[in-house]
Amino acid sequence: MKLRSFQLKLLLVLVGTVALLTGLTLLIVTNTIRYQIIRKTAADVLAADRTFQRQQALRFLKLDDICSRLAGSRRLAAALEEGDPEVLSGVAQNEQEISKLSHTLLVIADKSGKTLVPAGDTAAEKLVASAILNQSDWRTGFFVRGDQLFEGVCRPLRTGNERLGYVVVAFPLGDSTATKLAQALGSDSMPGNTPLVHVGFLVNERIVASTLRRPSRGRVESVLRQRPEGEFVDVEIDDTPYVAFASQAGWGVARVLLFSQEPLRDLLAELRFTAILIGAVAMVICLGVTTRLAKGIARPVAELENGARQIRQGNLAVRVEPRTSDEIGRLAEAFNEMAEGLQLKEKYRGVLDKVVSPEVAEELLRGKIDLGGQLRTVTVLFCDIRGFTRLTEGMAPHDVLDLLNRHMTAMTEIVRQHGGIVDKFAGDEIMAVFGAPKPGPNDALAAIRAAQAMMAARQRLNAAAPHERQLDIGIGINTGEAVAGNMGSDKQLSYTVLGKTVNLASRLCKSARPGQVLASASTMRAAGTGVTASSLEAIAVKGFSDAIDVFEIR
Amino acid sequence: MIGASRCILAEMLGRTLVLLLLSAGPISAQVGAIEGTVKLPPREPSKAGSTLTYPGQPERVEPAPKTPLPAVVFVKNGSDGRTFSPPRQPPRLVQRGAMFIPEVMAVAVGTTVEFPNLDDQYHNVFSYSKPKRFDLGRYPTGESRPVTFDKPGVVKIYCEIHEHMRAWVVVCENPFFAVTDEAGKFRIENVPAGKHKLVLWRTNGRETEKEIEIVAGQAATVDFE
Repeated sequence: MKLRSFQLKLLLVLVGTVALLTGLTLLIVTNTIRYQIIRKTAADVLAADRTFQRQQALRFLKLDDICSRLAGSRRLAAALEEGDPEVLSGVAQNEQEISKLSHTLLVIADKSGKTLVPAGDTAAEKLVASAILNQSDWRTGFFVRGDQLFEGVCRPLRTGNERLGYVVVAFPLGDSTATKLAQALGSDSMPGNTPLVHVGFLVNERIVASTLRRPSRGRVESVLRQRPEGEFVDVEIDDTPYVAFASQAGWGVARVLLFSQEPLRDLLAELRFTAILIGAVAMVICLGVTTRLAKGIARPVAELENGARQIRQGNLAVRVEPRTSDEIGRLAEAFNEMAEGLQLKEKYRGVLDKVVSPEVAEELLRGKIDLGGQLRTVTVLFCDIRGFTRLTEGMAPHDVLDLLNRHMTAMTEIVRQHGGIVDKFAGDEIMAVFGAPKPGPNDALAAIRAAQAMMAARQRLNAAAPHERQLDIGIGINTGEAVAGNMGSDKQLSYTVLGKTVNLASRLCKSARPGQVLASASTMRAAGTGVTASSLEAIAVKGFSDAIDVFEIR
Repeated sequence: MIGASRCILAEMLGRTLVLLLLSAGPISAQVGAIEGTVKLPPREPSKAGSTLTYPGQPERVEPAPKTPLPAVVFVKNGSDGRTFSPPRQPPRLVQRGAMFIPEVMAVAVGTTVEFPNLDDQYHNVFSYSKPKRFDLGRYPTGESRPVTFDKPGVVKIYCEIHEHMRAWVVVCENPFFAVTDEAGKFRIENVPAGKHKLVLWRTNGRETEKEIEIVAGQAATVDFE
């Protein structure tokens, strides 16, 4: 479960990061591209509008080519001068046939601007009026005749300097014109494809002559009506987004351009797809990496957990194999070191328990007892087997050691029971210390009681094995100040006490007869009442100038 | 040589016959003349000479004459139902130097006029005027095409190719007409005595009528402002 949740967390973080980065990249790229393409579209539309104007100018020039020829026609001038409408229409028709202008509208007006041919048709009179007002040699413009938009050129017909009338040559602007224009603007009208460019002419808010299909025109008209001229407007045609633009061409006619935004939409979709694809691939990689990583962390963690459990159960020999050199690996190493340390401590504890009482060992291990050199008041007890060397003469070494060890074990046990520590064994002699490293409530008394117990124990042991060599012990006890601490070389240390107090105890032990326990006056003082003892003669002790008062413990 | 002299002879004979015809009859003794002056406005500077030229073919255009355009003076309804024979020798309205010469011509009804092209370029003479609509088409130098004017009225003559080429043919009901000279002077002979309407026609289309009385053997003087 823990493994799973850890893996899940890691996965969530990584996947979240990838998704966030992908999303951000997508957003930035999309916005940048959109902005750039909008700018490009605007430039394209304006360039297309200029092309549109140039195409218009070219068509006007083409019209003027015909118009100027007709304006120079003597027949038209003669007919106009004659003033006979029949003749004039006949001549006009003839001119139209000669010039093969079957789709061209030819209008003849008199010098006041009144249309003579075609009779009663006033559509072009505005253009003629403009030519009259401007006194110009040629005038271009648009006019609507019926439902049809025309582009026309007007020139005066003269004889000499006199203006006889005006001739207008006009082309109808139809959907085919718009198609040609769109082609000139580079729109590929491939079947099935939505065209890149739509063009049209706007007259009285209505779109005439356009590449737009009739049902689409209404929407463009209403969209253009709502927006001021010269601004870009978005409009949707056949589910394709377009940008629409209208600019005045004069005579109440506006050029309309629509540019498809589909390439932008396609490009953005492609980008989005690519970004999402990259994101998806990154996520799959993430998933793999996460799983591996989680496993790589979880397995050693599980092993460590198992190791910890075993240690709790007491198996200090457990070790975890460090698989990697990273933090996890170092953790495993640290675990192993810890286990090793625990094991070593346990081993020391075992040794210590053999040397001191478990309580003292515990105190020592906890570090509560200062093992540095200290002046302490201690009670030192020496216990010696009388005549041991003589007794063991002729005995097998093994039997000697066995005998000695049994004695020492029993004595050591008694010392411990009474809160002392066995400082050292020197041959058949035991040195025990009470009050160091840990002072007891009454160390002197404890030492006296221990001595009595040791005597009793020796007697019991002797009685229990009557056929064996009978051992007699002598005990000396002294209380006083001594230096306590670890002594020895830096390689080997032992906790011991040093000083006159120790020496006096040893001397007292030497002075004791078999079965006798000798205690100094200081010990008796320290032990207080409750001890049955008899005062002996003061004895002179080697190394001490004064005679020492000695008590024999009963 | 013989053919040529025969031609001249025939022409002389014809002229004598016309004179005989005109002088013959009961009127011959009862005729007078009309003479006078028409004040002619100076010719407007026209674009003659700056007409279309075809590349590689410089047009030889004579400079437009400085003289004023002449006018025509004729007697209206002076025929009294009589008919007049057209002149045997048709008058010529030539195209030369990208101009019609003469620019103004008067003929009696029924007269055939020759339109010879004396330029080394094509001309196309036509008219849409009601009294005579015709189109002679394009024809090259040296060629001539005739037109018979069979209705009275003014016929405006154009060349389809040259904008500035203009001419007027005034077709009169009778032979009592005259085209003024550069100074505006005219004289009409053999007009029957009696009251007549004398009409002055100018190239701008305006006509002025005057009542006159011809006294036999005398010349009436009529001046037009």
